Formats: sequence, C-alpha cells, structure tokens
Amino acid sequence: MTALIDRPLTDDAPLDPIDPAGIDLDAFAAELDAIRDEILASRGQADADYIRRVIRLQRRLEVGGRAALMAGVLPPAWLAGVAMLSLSKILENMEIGHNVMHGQWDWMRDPDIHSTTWEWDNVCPSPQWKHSHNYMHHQWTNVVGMDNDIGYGIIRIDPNKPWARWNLAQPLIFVTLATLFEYGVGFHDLEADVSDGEKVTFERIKPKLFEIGRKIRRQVAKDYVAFPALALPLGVPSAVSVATGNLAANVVRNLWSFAVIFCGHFPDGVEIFPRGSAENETRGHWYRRQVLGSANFEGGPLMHLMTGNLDHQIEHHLFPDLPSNRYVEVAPKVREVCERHGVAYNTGSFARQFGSVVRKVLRLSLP
Amino acid sequence: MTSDAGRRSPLGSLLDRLSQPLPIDAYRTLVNPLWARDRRGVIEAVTPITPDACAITIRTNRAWPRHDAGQFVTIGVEIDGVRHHRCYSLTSVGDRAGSQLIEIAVQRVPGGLVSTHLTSTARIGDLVHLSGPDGDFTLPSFVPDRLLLISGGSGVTPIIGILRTLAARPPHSDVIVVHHAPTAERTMFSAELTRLAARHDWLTVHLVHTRDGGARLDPTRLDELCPDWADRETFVCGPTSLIEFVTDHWEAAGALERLHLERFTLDLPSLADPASGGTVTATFTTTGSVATAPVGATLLATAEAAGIDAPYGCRTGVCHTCSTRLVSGCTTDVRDGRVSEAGTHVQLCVSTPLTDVALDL
Repeated sequence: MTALIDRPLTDDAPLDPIDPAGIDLDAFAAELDAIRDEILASRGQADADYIRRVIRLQRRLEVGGRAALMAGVLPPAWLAGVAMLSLSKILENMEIGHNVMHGQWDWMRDPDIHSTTWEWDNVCPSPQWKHSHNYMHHQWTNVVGMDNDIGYGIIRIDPNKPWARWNLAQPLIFVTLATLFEYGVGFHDLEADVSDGEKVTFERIKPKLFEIGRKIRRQVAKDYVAFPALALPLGVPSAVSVATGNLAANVVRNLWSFAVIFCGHFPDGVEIFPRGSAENETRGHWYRRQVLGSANFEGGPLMHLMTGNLDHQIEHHLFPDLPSNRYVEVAPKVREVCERHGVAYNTGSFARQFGSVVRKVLRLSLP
Repeated sequence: MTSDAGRRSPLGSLLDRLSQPLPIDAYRTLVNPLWARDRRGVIEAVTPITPDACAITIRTNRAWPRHDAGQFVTIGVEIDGVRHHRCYSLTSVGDRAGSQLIEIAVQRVPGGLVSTHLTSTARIGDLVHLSGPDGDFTLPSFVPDRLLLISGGSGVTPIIGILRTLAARPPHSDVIVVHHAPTAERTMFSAELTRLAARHDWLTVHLVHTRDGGARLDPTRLDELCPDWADRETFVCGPTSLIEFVTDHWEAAGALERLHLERFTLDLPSLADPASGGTVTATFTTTGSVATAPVGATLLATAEAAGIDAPYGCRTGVCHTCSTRLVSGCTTDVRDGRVSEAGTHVQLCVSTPLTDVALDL
C-alpha cells in the first residue's frame, strides 16, 4: 500500500521512509500490512459467532439487570441489578458499540451490526463519535492541534502545553471527568468546531448541540423516567431504587471506560507529537506514530472482553477496523516486529499504567 | 437500525422508546429470531428434487406478506460469517393469505456459493433474511382462457408456482406447458408436472429432454406443440437463448403484448483490470449525476471530480467516514484486492470500480 492512497495532504514530498535513527519504515509497514492481511483472509464464521455471542450476552445482562432493579428496594437485588446493568453498559459501549462503529464488523454485511447504522447507549451521537474518534483521533493520534483526545482539552497531559492557573484544579477535573465521562464524550466533537480558528457562533454548533440534546433527553427519559415509572406500582421507594440503580450503572460504566481510555494514550513513555508533524507521513510513519502514541496493559480473557479489547490499544490503533477479538492473536507478532525495528512497544499492568497516568495528571497540575 | 417493513403498532412504538437506542426487535429476537419487524424466516424442510436441486420450505414471520404466483423472493443467508443475497422464484401457491410457509427450489450452480450452501450445507432451523416478494411475472387478475407456459432448466420454478396456484382453484382455462431440461433425471418437478397433467384435463404438459434427443424450441416445433401460440397469454422463463428466440418470434408475429418474460440469468459484465486503466461509468443515485470513472482511481476522487459532496475523513481507509452503499456494480479495495458487490457498503477512498457502478450519493 502506498503512503497516501488518495492524495497527499500537501504538495510537499512525503517524509523520508528511512528515519534519522536508521529505521526502515517501509519495511516496518510491509510487515505490519502482512499481519493485517493474514487476519483479513481468515475472518469468518467464528468471528461472526463471537460478536453475536457478545451481543446476546450484553442484552441478556441488560434485561436481567433492569429486572433485578425492579426489586431494588431489597439491597441484594439492587446490587445484583447494578452489577448486571453496569456490565451490560460497559460491553455495549466498549466491545460492541465502539468496535462496530469502527467498521470492524461491516464485512459481515449484517445491516443490524454495521458502522453506518449503529447507535449506542451513550449521550454522544454516533455520527459525531465517528468524526471525533474514528477520524480526528485515529488518523491524527496524539498530534497536537488535531487529536482532541489529548487531555480532552481540559486536562494538561502534555508537559509542553503552557501551564495555566486553572490547571491547579486538575485533580478535581480528573475525578469529575471520570464520573461524567459520557458527557465529556458527548460534547467532545464540538471541540473540533471551537478549535478550528473560526468564530464560534451558536448557529454554527446548533445542529450538533441539538443532536446531543436529543440523545441526553432520550437517556434521561429511559433510565430516570420510564423504567422508574414501571416500578411505581410497587411504591415510590421501588421507583427511586430503579433510578438510583440506573444512575449507578451509568457512573460505573463512565469510571471504567475513562480508566481504560486514559490507560491507552497517557501512561509514561507515550509520545505526543508536535503540531504539523504528521503531514506527508508514509504508511510506515503513520504505523510508528500509532505504536508510539498508544499503550497496552496486561490481562486475561475477561480483561479483553471488559475493555472492548482496548487493553490492546496499540493493535487497535494499527488496525482499527480488524475485528477486536483478533487483537490478542496479533499482539505477539506486532510486538516482535516493533522490537526488531526499534519502535518502543509500551505495555505494563493495569495498575502500573493507570498509576502513571494519575501521577502525570497530579504533576502537571503544577507549573 | 434498518428494517425494511415499517409495521409499527402503538405498543411497538412504546416498546421502541423503552429499548432505544436499539429497536425492541433486538430484545424480542433473543427469545425467538422470527420476532422481528423485518422479513425473515427459518428453514422448515430441505427436500431433494433432482440430484442437484432441492426444494426449500421456509416458515416466515408475520412481516412476510402474501405473494402472487410467479414472483420471486430475495433470500439472505450467512456463509462463513458473511451475508449473501440471491433471488429465487417462489414455487409455493400464491395469493394465500395467512400462510407462513413459502417454498423455493434451488438448483446447484457449479461454483455457486449460495446455491451450493442451500442445497448441501443449509440445515432445518437456519435463519434466513427475506425481502420481496417482487416481480411482475404474474397472472393477470382475470386468468385468460388460454395460457402457454414455456420454461428451460430452473426456469420452471415460477411456472410451477403458477401451475400450483391454478390447480388450487381450477380455472376455466386451457393451459399448455412446454418445459426443457437436459435429461429426465435432471428435470425439476417432472413427477409433479406429469401428475398434474394426468389429474387436470385443462392442462397439457410437454417435457423435452434436450440431451436425450428432445428438440430445442424453434418455429416448427412450437407450431407442433401449440398451434395457437400467438393467441395465448404466454409466460417464458429460461436461459438467454430461449428468451431471445421467443422475443424475436413473438415480435415477428406482432404478439409481444401477450408475452411475459422472466430472466433468471444475469450476463455479468466483464471485470476491468485495475492495473490496466480504462474507464467505466459511475452513477450517483441520490444526486442523479453520471460521471466517467477511471479504473484505478478511487471512487472518492471520481465523486469529487464530478462535484459530488462525498463524505470523507482520513482518505486512507482508516476511519470509514466515506462508507457508501454500492447500489450496483463491483468495486475492489485497492489495498488488498477484495471485491465488493452491489448491496454492500464500500469505502470510497480505497475503492476503485471494476464495472459500471451506481453509488448511493
């Protein structure tokens, strides 16, 4: 595959495929392309069965969780309901929604499991997610001024970013963003409109705001009005326990997805790239930036499932549209290729990676 | 989510509100895969009818409407994880309200993915996705006094559907069937055609076995089998040669208005070689514009050159922003050479056309 299939982003010549350290990035890209091709050629029934199994599990957990919460005045039922509904919302956002919207399952040609039709249980409208995430974040990973996921615009995660006094509140912002993470994600695509240098007017952002507002209204109507109302015949305390259970599940999902995503790009050793540095990249440069700008963490099959396989963030960034269940299989090959070519492959335990993120956030709250 | 049938009861709409962002079908189908608004069915029986053909009975869900004899169904099956669609004529009795059983007959095509699957690997209980019924190869609402039904090979399938429907409500008509197949053994529905002819005095059946000395249809043969052919309402389904013969012959006789045709083979256009260049035609169905598309150039570049406001993001095949439905034709992914066919979504920025294409833009 050539550097840029369609057109170079500027008329300048592409970057030299031999980098200053002597790494042959064309050879690096060819080996990674071969890994990708191997998976493409072997996609089949087992993969289709996998995603359908996960979808069935998620929907059963959701039904079970919402049923248990109907008896939520009893503490064990409330806890069981919250646990099931939290698991369901995590699976729905991470292993299903995020990956389906990447087009990982489009090859099945099932219109019900397709990136062009999927809508997820998150206040972020899927078209806006596909823009801010699939394009801005994945194409321009960790490039200042392009990838708005760097600190989500409100956390100073890049030491080169000038310190401002309000960064002192960073620990509080960190915890607040974690708790309300889906709202951070929900309004995230507006960042592209407020940071593109043009005047921000209400008229300009109204269509996106309207879509976000509609999704928020629908989630509120479902989780905090309709399902509590179904429990109302059992008494007001029952209705309240349904609402608090749904709130708890939304918060658990927010905290977990926040932790997983912050472990993907902000642990120690992950590089941030200066503005403009990614223009005229060859595919090899792009691949290398994806590896250097991402970090994995270690875990077993349950970890893979509950993170939507984003514990393999590096593999996900190299191959964002390969089925997520295959990342675990390509990871050793990717790591071997990276190490042989001298491209740093960043991995560690979840505790180590998340610990380093927290330390960085605290350190950079000060000048 | 896309579902073709729009039947939404007030209760269904209420349930959709509770289940959103997914439709309630996402949960109903956990219990029974047929509890959906889109048209689906499960395979109820697979019956061999010749050494290389099977009749397949499908129990449909309630979204399936009644069909007219002679129409076809588009059936979607999953093979190695990928949904494939093919059209098959309905062989079951038409115009029967309330019946949830339909039948198709599938002849195995050498190298045919879907026909091989349906005749050898499909199992009772398998889920199939349906669309249709479609097609105007159907009897007029007042059945004419005299009918001529001509078929070749698996072209007999809509004909048997029409005959079964006529036999269910015996008409005051005179019906002649001329069916061609290579050998007696490979004649689909031969026993049934013979039995129907023996039972009903309004029906005459001529079975022609072209590899066992039976003559192909020509003007002389036609006059022998059915002297008043030009006056009959005539239905023909079969290979291109048969269709061409009857079209010319009926036209010469000024009888085209009584001729109804159903083609079951599609002459595929030859595929272009992306390396050798050349051009094809790209049609943009939403805007209605047509452009010349260089083979080897991406469809995104072609669309933009034609002034189409096509969606795009990364322009390198990463982000899927430009995924667009390919309405007709074939394209290939310039990265790995995989071919996409009509009805699928293609990434414009990494796809180049292999044939004339139509895109939902």
